[in-house]
Amino acid sequence: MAFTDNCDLFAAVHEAGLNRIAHHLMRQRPSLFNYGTQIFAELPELLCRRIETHPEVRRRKNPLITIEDPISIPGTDGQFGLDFCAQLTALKIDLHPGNLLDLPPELDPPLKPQRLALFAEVCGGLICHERQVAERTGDSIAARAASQSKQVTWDRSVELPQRAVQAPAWRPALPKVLCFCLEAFGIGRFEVVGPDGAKQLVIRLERLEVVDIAPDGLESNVECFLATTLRVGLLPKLHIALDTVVLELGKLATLSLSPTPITPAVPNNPAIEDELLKVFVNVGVAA
Amino acid sequence: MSDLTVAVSEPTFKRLFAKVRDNVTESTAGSADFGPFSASWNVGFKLQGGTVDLQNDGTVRISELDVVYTPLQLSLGLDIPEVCVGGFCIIPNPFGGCILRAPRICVFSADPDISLPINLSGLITTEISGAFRIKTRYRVDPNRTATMTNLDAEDAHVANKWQLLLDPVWLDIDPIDIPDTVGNILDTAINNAVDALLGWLPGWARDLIKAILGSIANLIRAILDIGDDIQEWLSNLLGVSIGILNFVATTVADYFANRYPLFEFEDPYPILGYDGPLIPVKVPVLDLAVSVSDTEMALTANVGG
Repeated sequence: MAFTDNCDLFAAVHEAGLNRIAHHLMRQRPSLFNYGTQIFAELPELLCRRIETHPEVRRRKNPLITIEDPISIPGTDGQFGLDFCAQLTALKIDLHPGNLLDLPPELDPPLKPQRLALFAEVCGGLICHERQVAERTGDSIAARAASQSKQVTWDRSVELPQRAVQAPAWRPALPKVLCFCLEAFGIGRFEVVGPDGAKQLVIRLERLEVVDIAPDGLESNVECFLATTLRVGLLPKLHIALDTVVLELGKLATLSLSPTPITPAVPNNPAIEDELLKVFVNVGVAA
Repeated sequence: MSDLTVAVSEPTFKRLFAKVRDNVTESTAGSADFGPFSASWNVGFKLQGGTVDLQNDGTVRISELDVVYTPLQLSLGLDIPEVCVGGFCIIPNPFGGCILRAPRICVFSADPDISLPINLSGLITTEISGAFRIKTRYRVDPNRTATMTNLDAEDAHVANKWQLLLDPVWLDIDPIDIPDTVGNILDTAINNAVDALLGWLPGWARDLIKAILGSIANLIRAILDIGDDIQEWLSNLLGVSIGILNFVATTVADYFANRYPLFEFEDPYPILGYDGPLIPVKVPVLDLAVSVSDTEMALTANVGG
């Protein structure tokens, strides 16, 4: 059977190639996988895991992390926050039939047909200030509230960083980051979505399981946070716009590509099978 | 198992072939002196018809592809021996000399005397058939300097590229097919040129020159060495003297083999483009290979580490 019995053009990526592509992506676009407050951009040595990058990233002065606001401290009207970092430090993809990853029992192994499994190591940490700093900050807030009409100068240099301020006025000389790393496994599939003329190949994360967190409620919350972050923050940036993939044919013609419709002959498009991501495509030819 | 596989069906390949064929045009111009006459030309061609088939022996076969010569404009310059008439004495002087002479008229004094513009655009064809292998080539742009990184090269539009090219296994170009009507076109061109050349002369002078030279048209034919078979003459002129068959063979072969790859892509291949200041994400492509069966053409490659 030929690859193109039911389509004009067939493309497949083996899971080994997919993982190498992911590796290149992480090295060349580190800010897609590493997040933190300003202090981590200025002092990347504080990150929980050192970021391995392509030499061109540093040569072109690309950011290592995407800068986020500090995590808001409840009760401070959003004025104060804690510095944090969050990193996706390892990523591995296993296409059906699964053979690279040992899925946890919660994900009902073995991997089902037309599914991919993924493994991610996620590391994160807060900069947790000394107890005295927190207390002084609390005292300042209380005193300001009590003397709104008085002209008082406050020593704000001893407070926690203000959330809305990108470069907090005060920081310990060598802040201590409370790092942790989690291993997460997920199950997903590839899907073609979007209207005609704007079709996109996307990864859908169906389930996520974080290993060894107790109690169950905390685990569920962490899983919810990670899954939402992946679905909303990361995966949409990796969509492949199929309709805009136009290949130049020796300057003599261009090809416009669109996914082959689902039929009994092509029951899954894209398909995950034989450790391959397969895409069946129809081709339009234009001058 | 390769990391990447891309296959194109034979029907798709045929559609691509048709599109490429319809966009192939090439032309050349030149001139040469062939002794009794000179020629300048503006010759081009386009491709029409033909079929393409993928073969199980790994080749791509192209059959009966018509090369239509257009433009095909020749300008033949002829140097006809000078002929002078008149100048004879009408009223002799009995004491010697001549009181009144007829005017002396010389024609064909220039070089060339006659320029025959012949427009054969679209009338002459050649048929090409051939078998090609699809080869891969890794092209390092000659304008890329040693100090450039891959990203520098991309920015300067001199990135390395993987290319797919048709490599001729054999190429057969039939003799030029010249229709009968070309003889009439040449005769008309000659007659028009003669009329234009002699039309300004008084009737007696034109008759006198024709009497001297016989048929001017026949003279021109003799100078051009046309003989009895105008098609054979023109075929020889175009194919051998001017060498358009070589031009077509070389151009067609180059077109597919060197100048215009069937397909090319950058290496490393950008999977994400620039995003503001963020550099593109580029993936090195290794071991590009191509295979052809009677149903499809398949490319395989690996992703570099």
